[in-house]
Amino acid sequence: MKSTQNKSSITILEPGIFSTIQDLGRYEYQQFGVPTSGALDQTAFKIGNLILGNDINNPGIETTLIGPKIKFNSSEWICITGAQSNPMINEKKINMWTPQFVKKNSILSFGKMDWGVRSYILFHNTFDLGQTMGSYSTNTSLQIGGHNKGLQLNTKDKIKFKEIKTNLPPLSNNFDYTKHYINRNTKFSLRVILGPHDNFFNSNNIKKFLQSDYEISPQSNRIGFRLNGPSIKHKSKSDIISEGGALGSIQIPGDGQPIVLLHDRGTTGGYPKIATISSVDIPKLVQSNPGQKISFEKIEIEEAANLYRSHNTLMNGIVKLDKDLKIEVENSENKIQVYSNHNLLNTKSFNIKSKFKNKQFDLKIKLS
Amino acid sequence: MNKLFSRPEIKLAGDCAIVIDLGESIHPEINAKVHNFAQTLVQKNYKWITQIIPAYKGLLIYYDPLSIEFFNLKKTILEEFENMSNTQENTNSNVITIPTLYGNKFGPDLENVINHTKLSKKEVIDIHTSTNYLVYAIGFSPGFPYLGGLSKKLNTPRLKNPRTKIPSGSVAIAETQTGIYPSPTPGGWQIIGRTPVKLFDPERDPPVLVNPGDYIRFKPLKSMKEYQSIEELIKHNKFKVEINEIDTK
Repeated sequence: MKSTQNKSSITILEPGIFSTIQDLGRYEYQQFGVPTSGALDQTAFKIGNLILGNDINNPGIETTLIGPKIKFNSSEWICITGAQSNPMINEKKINMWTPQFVKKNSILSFGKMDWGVRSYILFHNTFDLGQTMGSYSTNTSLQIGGHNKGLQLNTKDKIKFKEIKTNLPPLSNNFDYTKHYINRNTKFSLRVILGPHDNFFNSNNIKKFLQSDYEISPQSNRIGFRLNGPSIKHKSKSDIISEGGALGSIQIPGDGQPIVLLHDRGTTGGYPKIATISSVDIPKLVQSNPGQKISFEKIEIEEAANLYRSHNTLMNGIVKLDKDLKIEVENSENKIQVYSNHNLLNTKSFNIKSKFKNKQFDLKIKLS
Repeated sequence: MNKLFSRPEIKLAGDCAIVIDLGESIHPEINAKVHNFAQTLVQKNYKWITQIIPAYKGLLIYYDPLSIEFFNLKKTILEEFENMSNTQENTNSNVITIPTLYGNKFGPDLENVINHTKLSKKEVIDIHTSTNYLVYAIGFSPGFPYLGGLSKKLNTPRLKNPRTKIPSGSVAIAETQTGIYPSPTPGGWQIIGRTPVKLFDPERDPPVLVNPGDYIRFKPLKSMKEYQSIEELIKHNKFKVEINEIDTK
């Protein structure tokens, strides 16, 4: 495929409130003071890529509250996960958490947000953008990464793809996200492991922290979520000698109001951290709106490690090769590349003889 | 008097990270131990270690809970520390020269420092440029060096109203600390000068100019003309940063 012939791209018609390009983040550069950034809801992000048969780190778009309006200048496979944002292609509602084929010149838009804050638009194709320090992730406050030196998406932005890629993702899933993923409760608890600086607080204040309700403040962003509630008092000092801060650590500054550190946090900081949220519960937090009431439930490290492992097992089992995949590619002008290891070759309805393997040909087909 | 622990303190930072403290104060000896330990662990190439962030007196280590149980992690870390204590430490350090233009447009708060310290402009610059400052850690923002060793004579409180944007390259002091802002960030330190040298450049590999354990020495520039000529050289990748090696023992 000559790259000069490649016109694969999308154009942003409306950017939404705050849409950025993200992957899982840049982890190698924290020692140089560079925040990781990356998708806030890594579970939704990874699942979207898994569903498309992608590398889990393939970059996508993170939307916030109101999603963007995007024109497709080429036909692409996409998958939308995360917050229930009622996505539509040409104003016709499409399913989330499944591969969707978007035809050239179609427009992707979003409806009312039913649940959550951040949706992810994942593509089977990959953006033709340079990586900054090993990652596509955008950090708008430091102006690093993304498509335009760390800016959020703007109207008329055109983002090119690396290749023409309309081969069918060979994967699908029948996982019920509404049961396992979406939380509609008006109040919920997040599991925490005490530390690293729980010794800066006496037992009464740790008790207060674990037994009170906190409300997510409107002053919350990708750097951190501020919480309002009963003030936590330090035994004496309210600062530490600056040290690295982990994802999900809850720091207590002088005013006693907790701040949860998230993906765009500075790599080091000087406030004591009373506890750290269990990795598997971070998506619950970042999908919550300001005003949401939360509380904290203490667990031990062994339990947290078990939760982490079973979450990983769950993720590994989400996507299976689907022998009964039903996809319509009617009237598509696209070329479909068929690879010898393409599992669809084994299906009944997609019977391609072995002599065509690795060949490229025009295809008009209606799968039923 | 420094307080180096005989045995590291291990603290939990969630299910994927631990904090390892080697001491409890800001001291060059503790800090050297921290960076040696970080180096030791990097060289061991443990597959369960995903990131190491060394700071003043300890390290934050990210690990993969799928690859190691917490109990074994703790055991291995303590064993590695025991083994390291017996090895010879490298005592050579780099001193990186940072050409700096003090005062006027680039150092709008130099007057504050002069008024607060009751020193002359020349005295402030002389004192600030006559010390090798140890880089204890890199953090807060990309490439920001936490420096130690500012003379007590220059001790000046922070600004009452922090600036929303400090230009990159700004050299500043606050209380007992001095530093260089590599990228434009908000901040409340007293800005006394500016360097054209880029401490952080995402296009460079590695993106940082100084590393923990290095020293920084400020060198006063005589004029805006001199500043601009260095700036021009940097633009064309022709500027060579002056680096000298010293024995710190």
